[in-house]
This record gives sequence, structure tokens and C-alpha cells, in this order.
Amino acid sequence: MARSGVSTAPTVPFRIVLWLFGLITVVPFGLLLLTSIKSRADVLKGAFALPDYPHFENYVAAWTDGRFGTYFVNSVIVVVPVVAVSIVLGVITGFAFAYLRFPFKKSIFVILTFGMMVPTEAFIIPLYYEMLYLNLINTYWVLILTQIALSVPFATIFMASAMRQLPTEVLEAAVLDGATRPQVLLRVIVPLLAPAVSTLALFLFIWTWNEFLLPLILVNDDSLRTLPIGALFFQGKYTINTPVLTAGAVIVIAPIVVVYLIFQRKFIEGLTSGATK
Amino acid sequence: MAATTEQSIGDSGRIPGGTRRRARPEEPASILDRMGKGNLLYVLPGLLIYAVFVFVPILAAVVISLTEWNGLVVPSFVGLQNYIKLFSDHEFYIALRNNAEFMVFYCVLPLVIGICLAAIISVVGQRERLVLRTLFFLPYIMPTAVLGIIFQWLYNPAFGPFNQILKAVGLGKIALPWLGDFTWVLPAVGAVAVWYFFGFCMVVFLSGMQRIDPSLFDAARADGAKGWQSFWHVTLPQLMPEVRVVLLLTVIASIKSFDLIFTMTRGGPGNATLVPNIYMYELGFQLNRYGYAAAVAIIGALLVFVVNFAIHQGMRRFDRSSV
Amino acid sequence: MHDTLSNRLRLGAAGIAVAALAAGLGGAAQAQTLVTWDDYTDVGQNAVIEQLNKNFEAAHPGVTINRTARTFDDLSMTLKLTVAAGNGPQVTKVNQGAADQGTMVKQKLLLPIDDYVKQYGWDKRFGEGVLARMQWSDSGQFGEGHYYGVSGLGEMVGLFYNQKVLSDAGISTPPKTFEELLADADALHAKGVPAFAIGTAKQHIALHMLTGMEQAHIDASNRKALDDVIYGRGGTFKTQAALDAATTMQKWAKEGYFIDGYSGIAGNDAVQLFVAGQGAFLLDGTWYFGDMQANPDIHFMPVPAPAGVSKPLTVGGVDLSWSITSNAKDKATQDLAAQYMDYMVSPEAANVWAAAGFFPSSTPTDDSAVKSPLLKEGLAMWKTITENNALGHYADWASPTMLKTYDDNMPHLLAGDMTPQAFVDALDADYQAYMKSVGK
Repeated sequence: MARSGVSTAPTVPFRIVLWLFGLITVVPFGLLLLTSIKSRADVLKGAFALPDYPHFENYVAAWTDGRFGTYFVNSVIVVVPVVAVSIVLGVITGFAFAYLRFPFKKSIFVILTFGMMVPTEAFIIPLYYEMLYLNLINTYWVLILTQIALSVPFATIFMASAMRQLPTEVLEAAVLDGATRPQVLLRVIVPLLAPAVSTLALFLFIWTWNEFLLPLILVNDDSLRTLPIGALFFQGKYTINTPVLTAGAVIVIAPIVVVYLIFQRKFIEGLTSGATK
Repeated sequence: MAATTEQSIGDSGRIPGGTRRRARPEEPASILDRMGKGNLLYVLPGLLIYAVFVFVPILAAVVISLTEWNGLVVPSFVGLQNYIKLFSDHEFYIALRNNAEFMVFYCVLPLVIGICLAAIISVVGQRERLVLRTLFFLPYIMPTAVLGIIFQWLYNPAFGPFNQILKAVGLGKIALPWLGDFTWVLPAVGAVAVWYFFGFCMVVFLSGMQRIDPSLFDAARADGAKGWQSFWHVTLPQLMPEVRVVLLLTVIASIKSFDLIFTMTRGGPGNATLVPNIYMYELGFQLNRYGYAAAVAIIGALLVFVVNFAIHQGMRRFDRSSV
Repeated sequence: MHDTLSNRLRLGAAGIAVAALAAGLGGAAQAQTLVTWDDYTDVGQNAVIEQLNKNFEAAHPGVTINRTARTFDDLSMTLKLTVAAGNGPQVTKVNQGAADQGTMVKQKLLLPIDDYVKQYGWDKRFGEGVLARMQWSDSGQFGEGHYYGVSGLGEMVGLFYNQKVLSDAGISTPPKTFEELLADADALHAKGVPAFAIGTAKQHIALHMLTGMEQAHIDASNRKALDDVIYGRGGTFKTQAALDAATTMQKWAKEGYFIDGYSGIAGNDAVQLFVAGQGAFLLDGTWYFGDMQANPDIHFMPVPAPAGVSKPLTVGGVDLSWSITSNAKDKATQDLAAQYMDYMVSPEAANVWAAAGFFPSSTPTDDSAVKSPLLKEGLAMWKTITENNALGHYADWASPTMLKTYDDNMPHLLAGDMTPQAFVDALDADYQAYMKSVGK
């Protein structure tokens, strides 16, 4: 990276620009946190005005009235299997697209990409009726299965492209040692692609955690809802309680921020290794 | 993310943007392929679940777009009428035009900013770079629906911080009611998209840069190239695969855009930020015209293909002229 | 209902189980779950409905309320779809008008409740003009025929005024006539005080303001034309009152009678600003009482009528109605649903709503529950309006697309790039297109 060719450039102005952009990314988060501990009257006093005391009761209101406890558990119940199964499927299907020949390979690939292009809003109504027919409405299953299905195209393409960049010699060596295909996949390919897998995991986690439309439509029972629905809950037809709403938003994003901060090193490594030819 | 999506696509399927077949020798089969039968077993599980829960409903949406349906009773078949109606639908054209303008904010600006930041980030040390990179990527992990709520408040003319800052630095004259101004509402919403995507673009470019063969820079330096020259002549052309990936993903995102605009403006004021997806929502969920709404969705999906095809073609030409 | 052997067996088994359970609990009640959906997601309303549900469960041992709250948008998006699929609530809140309630009635997704209206005397508890909003005839005519719902909360669009701001500007009493309102606005404007708090970025203050002024020009004795328009019997939006109201709004917007930056401010935020002392007037509904009562200087009154109109209409109605869906399949469930609805619109529930600062549709029996002066003013107004049969209409009920037509054109009217005539024409074009589409 040190060799990207601008090492002779002046440092200070660039550094200012960089940190300016860094600031721009965090200020809204800071203001969000600040608003979440204000009273409704404080909100009108200006964004940077501090409240007299931190109104943590906003969090209590969001947590209890918004039933965040239940929603949090539901989000976890849905996200974990979605991420895990999508990765497994992505690795297996990606393996096929990277190394194997099979009939209609190109057509199947085209069909998979549809899933990335067509917005969910476009097919949510037929999906609802289909799920109803399969008796899956109002279950965890419907949230898990549909979101796995939505993740398959990206997971497949992502894993396939990462596998294509592995040096063929390694695979050949393994095959010459007498390894079967599942063995090559599990013992050679997957360990080599660990960073790419963790990148994929993080992306799937973010997308699934933030998914709004599917749980909104496919689940009617309050006890099965996920967090993002809770986040927008405090909007009445005519009333809105900004501090409680922002407190709810903080509760929803906190887990993703934590996961991101823990995994971000690995994750960016994954991006990097995926792109290396 | 898919720093590599397009590369693999370019090799195996060349989607999106063109299913056309290029006359070229069949790729050599991998050593793994020769080993045995049952190749399909690797494809079927993923494909099956995808087909049941995504592809069948998409096909159903195509069928629905050929009907008139209120979402409740049996749809009645109307052929291509919905599509014909769309061509004379003034609001749909407004939505398309707005979407084209949004692409500047969803695709072009984040790309340019991302590439510039990636180019200059090497001036700081390893640790500082890690912190910046982490910060830049942060917006991308946020649920966009929540972002809309935050930014709606940031833009508030009466007590939002944005105008508060403008007034504090003596720019009260341009402290506009951003989300209510016919001219400025689209850039104001677009700016949020820039904020959301630029760090993502930068991280992808950064990883692309690490891939570049250092000897290319050495050669450029030997030829007497200054910093920005070697960036222009070496880095940029080498980054074309990443540019293509970023464009692909942001174009999809711009045409699928919904949450952000919905939570901030609902397409208003007076349709100034109406995009096809919002229009589809209004038609479907508010007016119960699901057939017509499905037609809007299908046209939107076709647009993704067309635009990506155009990008693909454009990039190829660029590749050829630059290499 | 199929009364097959297997069904009977299953019912029998269930009955035994229930009996065993009841015996075990030492009660004789029947275990039953009632699935309800409502839109009370605001923090204050949420607390009230939870309380009411608890009260109902306590009064009906063995009954469990399975409540799902949905925001207004979610409700209109999911309710029809879900009930059509034989899923979801047995009792639900549903938005009146053609788009939601009308569609559901047509598809037989809601059950007529004529018997319960008589049984519980809802027709006597609420004025005829109120219940008409939830009536649909067999031929699909709105405003007559079978009853399909009742509502727990009343709604009126009126004039909120901040007495302190008025006094500071030398205006000692609120306007008594529409002409006085215009004069007060001019006087405030001349002093550099924004006359009106309004925000048009979201919610519908502009719509309520416009139609509030418009309908204040209609005397209750002449209300038939308006009723006909709203109930889909035909008519026109091109009235002098509408044109005048649009002209006045445009003038105020252009000349700076509104708070600064109003076009970029959401309605809810405008209300918060008004509570904080910005603007002398705000025209909107009783649903903001909860917010407004934070400032004791703020009062509520009908939009003043011009000279010559003695019983002006007040825009308003009731909140989304409670209705029984086709999911309440058997008589027992329907009866339970009706009991629930009766409790929700009872004077007892009204006391709880009033105590929390909300505006109930039935008169609270407990005067001490009404603590907020605003609420007292509102309840007095509600009484007069009911007596005069002067409850007006939400204009956006006239056609399924009317709300969008208002929303799309209002910013242009206020920005001055659309004439009041063109604005009224656009509304009428929408209405006539709808009338034509339903064959009128």
C-alpha cells in the first residue's frame, strides 16, 4: 500500500482531508447517541445542546414498550442460522461454479443473479401467498428460509470468485495426494479462504440483521418480530417521540457496531485476499 | 465485498450486463471437475432453496405484471396493457429521471471520493490508517431505514445541526429547508447516499491497490513519473476491475433504493424525489394496483440489466484503449 | 361451519381440555384467545391500550388478548393481505374510507356489526354522523347501510392558539370570526411574528389547515353537498370555499406568515416548535393534545367561521375504527370480539384515555379524569358539534388517490408555482376520474 505511488505527495493537507471525512462518518452517530438521552423539549434546543441530565429513561421506554427484549432474541434466532447455512451453501455452490462443469451452468448463473437485482418489494406479495400455502407464515422458519434463499446468490458468487483465485497447484497437489473432492473442499480450500468466509459472514450478518420488509410482511405475531421493526415502532400516525425513537435505533445498531468492530480486521483482510489475483 | 464478483462473472457467466456469448475457447476444466460425477449435487441444495423462496415468486411477479390485481381477488389477465400504460405515465418518467439523478449520488460521487481517499490514505501510518478505514466503513453497516430518520432530523431547518452550523459560520442565507425545497431535496437525500457508500468504495479500492504489482510503480518512477502521474497511469487502470464491481453494486443499490428516500421524504415534495421503487410501493400497497406495481418492478429490474450492460461495454472499451 | 364428526370430536376433546383446565383453575370460564391488531404505537397510547387490555382480561377470566401493534403505515400495508389469506386479527383497527375499509367490506373481510350496534346501543352513544363513517351498503355505497365499526377516540381539526404569543403582539382575545383570524394574522405578520406554525415535509398539517378553513365556511344546514362528495355520490371539489382557502394559504405561504423553513419541517416537529412558543396559531387535530398540553398557554377552539355561518362544520371524525374481521368465524368469537369493542369504546375506557390526555369518542363519566384544560375545551366542542350535526369530513376520503393528490400538489400551491384554481382543478380531476371509474 505504501507503494500506491503518491508517497511524494504533501502529507498534512491530505491528512486533514482524511480526518475530515472520518469526522463526517462519526458525527451523525454521536448526535444519535446524544439525542437518545435528551428529553423531547431538549431536542428543540438545538442538536449540540446538552440535556440537563441524561434521560436514560428513553432506553427503558424503548426496551419495555418496544419489547426490545423479545425482538432481540428473535433477531439472534434468525440471524445465526441464516448466516451459517448461507455460508455453507455459498461454499458448496460456489465450489461448483468455480471448478465444476454441469449442464446449464451459464443459465443457472443468470437466474441466480436475478435474486440480486430484483427488489424484494417486487415479489413480496407472491412470496407471501406461497409461504401461506406452505403453512410457514408466522414461524421462525419463514424468516430463516427466505433470507437464506436471498443470500444464496451473493454467497455463491462471492465464494466462487474467491476460489477461482486460489493457485491451482495447491489443489492439484491435494488431488495427487489422493484427496476426494469433499476433502479438498474442507481441508484445503476452506482453510485458505477463511478471511473471505469471515467477510461474507459479516456482510450476511449486517444485511440479515437490518432486514425490514420480510419480517414486516411474513410475520404477524408480535412475539416473532425482529429488532428493526421495533426500531421504527414509535411512530404513530400523528405523533413521534424522537428521543425514544433514537434510543430504539441505538439498541438496534449497537450489536452490529460491536460485531463490526470485533471482526473488522479480519473482514478487511478478507476483502483484500479476495481481490488478490 | 465482491471485490471479485465481476471478475468471476467475466469468466463464467458475464452477467449482469450481457448474456451474450463471446466466441472463445471453452475454459479448461479444473482438475477437480475430472474427478467424478455428481457435479450437480453441489449445485442443487443452494439452487433449490433459492428457486423455492426467491425465483418462483419473481416469476409470479412477472405473471402478475400481466394482470390487473388488487391483491385480494383472482387477478384478471390484461396482457401487456400495464406496460403500455407505463409508457404514457408521466409520473413514471419523473421517477426514472429522478433515479438517473440519484445515480450521480449513489454511484459516481462515492466512487470518485472513494478512489481519491484510497489514493491519499497511504500518507498516514499503519495504525492511523486502520482507524480511518474502520470509520469510513461504519455507515455501510447501518440499517438505511434508521439512517433516514437520523438525517431527516439533521436537516431540520428549525433545530437540526446542519443549518445550525451554517448559521453559526455566517452562512444563514443558504440554510435552506432542505427536504422541502424542490431543487435541493434530491441532492440532500443524495448526500446521505454518498455518505453511506463512499467508505465502502474506498475499502474496495484499497484492497484493489494491494493487488497491484509493485514493479509497475518502480517502472513508472524510473520513467520519471510523479506521484499523481503514476496514480493516473498505473493505479487507475489497474483498478478497473474494482471500479466495475463498485459500479455494479451501487447501480443495483440506486435502482433498488427505497428505505432511505421513504423515511426521509416519501418521494416528496410533490414527487421531487419519487423513484420507481417508491412509486411501486404507492401503487401496490397504498392503491392496491398490484399488477401495475409489478410492471414497474419488472421495468426496474430490466433497467439494472441495461445499465450494467452499458457499464460492462464502456469498461471494456476503456480496458482496450488503455492497455 | 362444517359440523362433521371429526370436527365435533375435536371440539369435544378441546372442550374436555378446557373444562379440565377451568376446573383446575377453580373457575367456570372458557379459555379463549382474541387476536387483536391496533395502531396505538405512540408511547402514551401504547400504555393506555395495554392497560385496557389488562382490564378486559381481568373482567373476562380465561380470555387472553393476543395483541399486535402496527404503525399506521404497516397496518395499511399488511392488514388486507393478511386477512384475505385467512390470517391475522379477529378484531382490528382499520382505516375508514374506500382504500382500506371499503375494499375489505367489498371482499367480505369485515363482518357487518348491525346487531351489536343495537345490542350495545352504540348508535345512541355516538351521533349518527359519526357512525356513518363506518357504514357501507350492500351495493358498496359509503355512508349508509350496514355498520362495520366503532371508534374509541374522537378527532377534530381546530385552531390551536398560543395566548401568550397573541398577547405579546397586542391581541387580547382569540379570533371569533374568520375575518378576525385574517386580521390577527396580518397584525402578527406586521409585527414580524410568524402567525402560523406549520410543517409540510411530513404528516398533513397543510391539508388539515386548508380543509379546516374550507369547511368552516359551510353551515351544518348545507352539509349535504359535502357529504355527497365524501360518500361517493358525486359532486365537485371546485367550490368557492375551497378556492378561497387555497388562495389564502398561498398568500400566507408566499408572504412569510408561516414559521421559517416550514417546507423542510415535518408536521410533528412543527407541533413541537409551536409548543416551544413559535407561531401564534396552528391548525390541526385533537391528536396533538398530548403534545400541546405541555404548554399551558395553548388553547383549542373551532376554526372560526365567517360572518353568516352560525353552525360551521369542523373537520374531524374518529380514529381508525375497531372492526371484526372474517377471521372471527364462530358466533362465540364474534360475541367476544363485540364485547371487546364495546369495552374499547365504553365510558370506562374513555376515562382511561382522558386521564392520559387523549380525546375519547364517548364522554368520560369521571370528570376528575379530565385533567387537561385542552381536553375540557375539546370535549365541550365535541358536544356542541354532535348536537349541531356539524362534524365535517377528511377530504382525502373522497377517493383512494386523493391523499396523494393533495400531497403532490400542496407543495406547489404553497411554493407559488401553481395557481389556487389549478390546485382545485387537480383535486377535482382526481375525484371525477374516481367517480367515472366506479361508474357514476
